[in-house]
Amino acid sequence: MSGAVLPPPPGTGMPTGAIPRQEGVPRIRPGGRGEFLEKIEPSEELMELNMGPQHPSTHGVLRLVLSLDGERVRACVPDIGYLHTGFEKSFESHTYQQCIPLTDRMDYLAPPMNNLGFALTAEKLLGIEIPPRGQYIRVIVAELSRIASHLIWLGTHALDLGATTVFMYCWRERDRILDILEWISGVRMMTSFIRVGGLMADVPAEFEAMVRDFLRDFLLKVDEYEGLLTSNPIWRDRTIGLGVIDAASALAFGCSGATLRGSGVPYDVRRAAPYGGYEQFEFDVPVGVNGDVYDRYLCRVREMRESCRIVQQAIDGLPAGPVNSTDRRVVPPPREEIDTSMESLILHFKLWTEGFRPPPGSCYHAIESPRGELGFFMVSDGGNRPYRCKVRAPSFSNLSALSRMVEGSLVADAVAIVGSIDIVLGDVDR
Amino acid sequence: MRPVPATVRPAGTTALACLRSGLPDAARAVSEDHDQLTIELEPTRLIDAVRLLRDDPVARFEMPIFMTCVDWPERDPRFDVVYVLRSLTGNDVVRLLVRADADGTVPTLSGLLPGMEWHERECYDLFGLTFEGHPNLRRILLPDDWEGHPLRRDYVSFGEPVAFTHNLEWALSPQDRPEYMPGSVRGSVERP
Repeated sequence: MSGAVLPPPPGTGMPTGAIPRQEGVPRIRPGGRGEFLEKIEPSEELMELNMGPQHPSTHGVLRLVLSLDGERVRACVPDIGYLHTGFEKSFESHTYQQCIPLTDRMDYLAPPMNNLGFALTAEKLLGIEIPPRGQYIRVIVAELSRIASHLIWLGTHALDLGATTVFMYCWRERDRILDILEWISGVRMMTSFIRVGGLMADVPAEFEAMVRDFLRDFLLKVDEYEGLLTSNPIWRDRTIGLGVIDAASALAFGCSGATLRGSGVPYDVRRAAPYGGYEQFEFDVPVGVNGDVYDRYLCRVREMRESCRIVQQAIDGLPAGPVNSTDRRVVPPPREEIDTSMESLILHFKLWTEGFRPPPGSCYHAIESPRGELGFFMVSDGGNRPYRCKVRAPSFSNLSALSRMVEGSLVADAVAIVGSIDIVLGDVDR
Repeated sequence: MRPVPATVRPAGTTALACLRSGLPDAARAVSEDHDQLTIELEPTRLIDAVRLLRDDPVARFEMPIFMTCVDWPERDPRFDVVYVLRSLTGNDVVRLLVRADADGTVPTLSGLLPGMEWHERECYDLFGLTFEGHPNLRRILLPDDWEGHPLRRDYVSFGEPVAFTHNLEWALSPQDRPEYMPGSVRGSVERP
């Protein structure tokens, strides 16, 4: 069923936390759908079918041109670009700080992740680092948004396959995360909370209690979702053995995130090249075995638990102190200073009108977004705007492997496979 | 606390060592920026170099992260074509650089690394670079009938060019400039 699984890279210290299989549960149910699929005979006549751009299972505006042989998909050509917004062009005419709200709108299911990626890259260009408290709050916000994004994925993925209850449950928990984000930033979704040089502001006093309250029972909620799906024979029939991609192909297509880890490659940017304080937290990287829809599902569900662990460690060890860098080239002086110092007033004014100017140079920095490796390649010519800022969107590369996964499956299964790679079209098209 | 894996510093060192031993004439220049190496390659040796990096049993740069382009209109050759590959075995990232003219072509990597196919289409779409040997070089993000390549620096993104004193040469041709503007070739107009 699955292809060659790469040996774990030696010397990288990456874990191989393969997902344990439940004993006694066969992967394909006798007399179930898996056996039925083998009996369909191939024919010569092909039919072209448009799936999308307005199709509920494409989670946005994605068009798939399917060549069908009866119910079976012989070829699949994704057609993207319906949400192309030209963010990379817009970056070139905005100052670095003004770019942050633009990044929110790319991967709109996890906006703080995009803020984080952009901010870390610009900080690398500037050569600054932010204090530990700022790093910890960034990690908490990023991991909460990862959970929120996975909840949407799980809810809609299950909804596509007919499990409506999970959808409602997931929305319920996601709302609590959005409440936390609203409390700290004033906005539920497009928070722009993480800025170059630190954060929008320190978190309010209630933040810690809210996060602890969320963590208290979230793991039980994950048990609840898993109780509805993981051992459910209908769910297993509709996901096991579908959309298989082997490790070598997934790597060659540049897949990352759970799409790659589901195939057995333990690659997680947080582990391979830790950034922004992640090296201080203990967590496992869940890895699948077979590279099918079911294994990608298991990986993401387990990732939610790992994110909980990280948030718990970060909130327990949340240090006191400032959240913003003290580098006056980037972060404006505190409010009190502006009343007493003319230079501070001028600096504050110049920072908000002109922005800051990183030295000429270029760098690439990647973070692990809910969908995989989200990277920013930024070139500065010494001006106050990015000369060029390329966004390496994880969904873009993951989607390019879709045709490989869908070929040979049934039309109805194409829906499951599209759901399992967790694309966000805002991220694909930018 | 879990030990953090040693990431190669500067990033790209293993790739450079692999290229120096396997293809000593491929690298034209090497520069370091923010702890990352950029290896500039001869365009004709790009395919060989990437094949070597991918297949070398030690380096194993098998994962195409992305490719893109940086436009420097005043410079010749105009485009910096940038490739980023990752090796999970060596936990390393390498950035390769190839320079291309305005109407120049670059060899495609989609045959070696299928993940580059869409990235090259995006680069063709937004920068107008041609990738020699690409199986499906069509626009990917913009509509098929779109004119121009928007991420070029000299692309006018919307509306009409507005003339200010600092951009007259760019916004108005000499024939279009009113006679009171510098550089106008119109005869002086009799004012009533």
